[in-house]
Amino acid sequence: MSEYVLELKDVNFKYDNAPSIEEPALKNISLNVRKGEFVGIIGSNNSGKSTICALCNGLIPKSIDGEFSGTVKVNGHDIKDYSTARMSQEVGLVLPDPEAQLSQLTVYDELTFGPSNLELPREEIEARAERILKLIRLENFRDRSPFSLSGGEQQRVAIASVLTMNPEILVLDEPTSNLDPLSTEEIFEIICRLNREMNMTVILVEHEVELMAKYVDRFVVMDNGRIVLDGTPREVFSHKDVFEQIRMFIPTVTSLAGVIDEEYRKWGRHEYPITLEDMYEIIDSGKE
Amino acid sequence: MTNISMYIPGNSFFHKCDSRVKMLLLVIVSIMAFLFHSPYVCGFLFLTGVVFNYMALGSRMFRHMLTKMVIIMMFFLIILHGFVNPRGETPALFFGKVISLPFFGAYTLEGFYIGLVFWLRLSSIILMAELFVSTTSPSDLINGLHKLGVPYNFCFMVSMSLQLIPISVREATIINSAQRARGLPEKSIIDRFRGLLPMFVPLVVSSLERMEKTSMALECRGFGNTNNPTNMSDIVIRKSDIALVAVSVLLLVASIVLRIRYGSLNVTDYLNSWSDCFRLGIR
Amino acid sequence: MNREVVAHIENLEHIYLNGHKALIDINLDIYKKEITAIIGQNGSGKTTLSKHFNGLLRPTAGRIYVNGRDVALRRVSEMAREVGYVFQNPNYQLFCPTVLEEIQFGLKNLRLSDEDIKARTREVINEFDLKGMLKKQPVTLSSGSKKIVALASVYAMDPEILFLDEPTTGQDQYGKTRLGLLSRKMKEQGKTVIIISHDMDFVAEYADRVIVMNESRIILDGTPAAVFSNEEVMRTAHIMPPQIYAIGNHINVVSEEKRLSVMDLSRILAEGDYCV
Repeated sequence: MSEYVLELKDVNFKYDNAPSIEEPALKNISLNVRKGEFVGIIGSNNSGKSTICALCNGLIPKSIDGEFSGTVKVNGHDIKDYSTARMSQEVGLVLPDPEAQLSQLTVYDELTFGPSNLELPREEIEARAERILKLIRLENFRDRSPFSLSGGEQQRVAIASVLTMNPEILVLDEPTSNLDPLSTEEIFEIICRLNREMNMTVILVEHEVELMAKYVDRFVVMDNGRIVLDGTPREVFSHKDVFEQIRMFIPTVTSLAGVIDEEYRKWGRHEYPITLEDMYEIIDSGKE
Repeated sequence: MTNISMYIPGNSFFHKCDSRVKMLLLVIVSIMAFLFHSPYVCGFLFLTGVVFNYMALGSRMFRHMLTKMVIIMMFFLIILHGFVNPRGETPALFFGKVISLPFFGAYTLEGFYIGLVFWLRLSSIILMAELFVSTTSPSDLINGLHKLGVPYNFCFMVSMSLQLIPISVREATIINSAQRARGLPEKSIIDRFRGLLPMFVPLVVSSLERMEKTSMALECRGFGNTNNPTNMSDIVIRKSDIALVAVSVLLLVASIVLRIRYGSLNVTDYLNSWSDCFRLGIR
Repeated sequence: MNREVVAHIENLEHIYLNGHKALIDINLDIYKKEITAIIGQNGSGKTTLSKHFNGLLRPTAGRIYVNGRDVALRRVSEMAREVGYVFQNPNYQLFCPTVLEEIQFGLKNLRLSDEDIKARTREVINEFDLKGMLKKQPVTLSSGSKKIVALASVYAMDPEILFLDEPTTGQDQYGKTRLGLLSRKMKEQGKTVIIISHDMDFVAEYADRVIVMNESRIILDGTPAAVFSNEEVMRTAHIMPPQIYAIGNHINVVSEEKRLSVMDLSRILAEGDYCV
C-alpha cells in the first residue's frame, strides 16, 4: 500500500488537437502527493497545469486524445485500468467555467446527478445530497435553477456536485478565474475547510499566488511542461531568480523583504514573510 | 431565468400525475377532437380542458401563454371563417342587420359554424397541451420519456437542449452588442440582415466550447456509466392515474364506435336550413 | 494641470426593467490621456456605467456627453468611432477567418478608403506586434493572444476612448504586463483608457485614477494611492487593497499624490521611517 494518494511518474503528454499549443504539454513529469496535503500548482498559461488536473481522474488519456506515456496512480491503482466513472469516486475535478459544469434543472438535482449515475440506492443518494448541501451552505438554493445563480454560487454548486461522489481527493483547475474577489475568497474558504476539517487532499491550480500562500502546504511551480520548483511556500519563494526567469511574480511581501535583505537580516529574521500577516507581525515587532 | 418550459410548479391532482398519463391524455383528446365535427363534442372537450387547467393552475391559467393563444385564436378563427369560408351561404342577422365587408361579402352562419368548430377543436388540444407542460416539470418529462423506453442519452439531450435555449439567446444578445460596438452598421434592414453573419461564428464557437467543457464535466460526474441511473423522482403511478387512463381510453373507444356508426355528428347535416335553428331560438 | 474633458456625465441614472436601480446620481468627468480604473463588486454598477459610453445602454435619467455630444442622440455603430469597447470574453467579438481581416473589419465599417485602411492596418500591426499572427485564425489563438487581437481590432478604429472590460481575467503575469504596457502606450498616444477590473495589483500599477463604485453609486474617486489608503471605503466596497498599499497603510506612509512602489516602501522600511 503506497503512502501516496497520487503518484505521477515520468509522464509525457502531447495534445492531438490543440492548435495554439505546438509542444508537448507535459515533459517527463513526476509528482507525489500525500493524503491530506494541500498542494498549489502555479505557472504561466500553457505551462501544463490544466493537463495535470485532467490526468488526476483519468480524463487524460481516456477522453482527451493525445500521445501519453508514463504512469498515473491514484490510491495505488493505475488510472488506465479504471473507468472515469470509477475514478470520479476517488478524485473530484472542478473546472474553471462554473456555468458550463451545470446541466440539471435544480441545484438538488445537480447534487444527486453524479451518484445517480453510479446506480447507488436512492436513500444513500439523498443522504449524501443533504450532507453536502449543509457542508457547502447551499440549503437555500436547493430548488433553484443553477442557471439563475451568480458565478460564485454556481461554482459552489459545481464543487458540491463532485463532492457527492465522495472523493477523497479534490482537484480544482482555476476555479476562481472568472469570479470577483468576494466570491474568490468564499471558494478559497470552502476549499480550506474541506482540507482542514475533512482531511481532503486538495490540488489547486490558480493564479492567485498571494492568496494561495495563506492556505497551501506546498507549491509546485511549472513552466513549459516541466516542474521547476516544488516545496513549501517559504522554500519556493526564496528562489526569486527562478520566478523572474519564468516571468512570474512572488508575493509582494516576500519580494519586499528580498529587496531590503540586509536590513531584514539585521532584524534577526532569516525567513522571508509570505503573507501580509507575517509582514505585519515582523514590522510590529521590529519597531520595538 | 426565463421559464421556457412553461412549467408552473404546484400541488394539484395533475401535478402529481405521472407524465406518461398526461401524454396519453393529450393524444386521446387530439384524436377525439378530430373524430367529430360537432360543436357539442368539441365543446365538451374544450370545457374539460378549461376545467382541468383551472383545477391545476387556478387563476394563473389566464396568464399562461397558451391560454392567451386560445383567446386570440377565438377572434381570428371565428371572425375569419365567418367572412372568408367558401361554404358560407346564409348571411347572419345581427339585430336585423347583415354585416358585410367589401370584397369578402357577408358574415355567414355556415362560416361561423365552421370557424367555431375549428376553434373548439384546436383549443381543446392546446388546452390539454397547456395542462401537460404546465404541470410536468422538465425532469419529470424526461423521466417519463425514459420510462417509455426512450434511451437515457436521448432524454438527457432533450433536457440539455431545453437549457441551452435561454443560454444561446443570452449569448446571441451579448454577441450582438459586441458586434455593434465594433461599428457594425445598423441603419437599414439589409444592414441588420448582414449583421447576422458576424453573429453566427462567435455563437457557434461559443456553443462548441461550452459543449466541450460540459461534456468533460459530465464525465467527471459519471455520466455515460449506465443507461439506468437511479430514479430520484417522486412521481409514481397511482390508482387515480389508472382510473383516468381507463376513463379516457373508454371514451376514446366509444367515440370511435360512434363515429363509425353515426358519422361526424355534424349538426348542419340535420338542419334543412339555418332558419330551422333560429325558429327554435327566437320563440 | 491641464486636463481636457473627453466625457461628461450629469445626474445619470439607470433603472432596469425589473426595477433594479443600477446607477444612481452619477456625476463624472473623464479626462483625456489618462488611464482610469473603475472598481467595485459585481453588481455595483461598473458594467452598467461603461455601457452608457457607447450607447449600448441609454440613461433613464440624466445625460452623458462624449466629445461634447449627447450620446443619447447617436447610434451604437456611430459611437464605435469614438468609443472602443473590448468585451471581457474576446470570443464574442472575434469571428473573421484571419487576424488580418479581424483588424480590418472595423475599418471597413467606417467606410475608409482602401489606402487609409492599409495604412492604418500597418500601424496597428506594428503597435501590437502582430506580424507573426496575421494569417492565423483568431479562434485558434491562446486566450492571451485573443485578447490582444480583440484589443487591436477595436483600437484600429482609432477611438478616443477605449474601454477594457476585465482585461486581465485568466491572464498570467506575462499577459497582464503586456496589457498594462499596451495601455500605457495608448495613453501616450493621446487616448483615454478606461479599465474595469477586479485585479487590484494591476490597477495599482497602471491606473492614474481610480473610481470606486458601490451599490450603484460612486463612493470614491482619486489616485490609486488616495483610494487604496482609504481603509474605510475599501471595507465598505469589500475591496482588498494590493499588498503594497496594505503594508503602506499599516505603517501610515501612503501619500495621496505619489504611487507607492516596492523601492519606496523598501527604503522606508530599511530606514525605519514610519510609525505603526
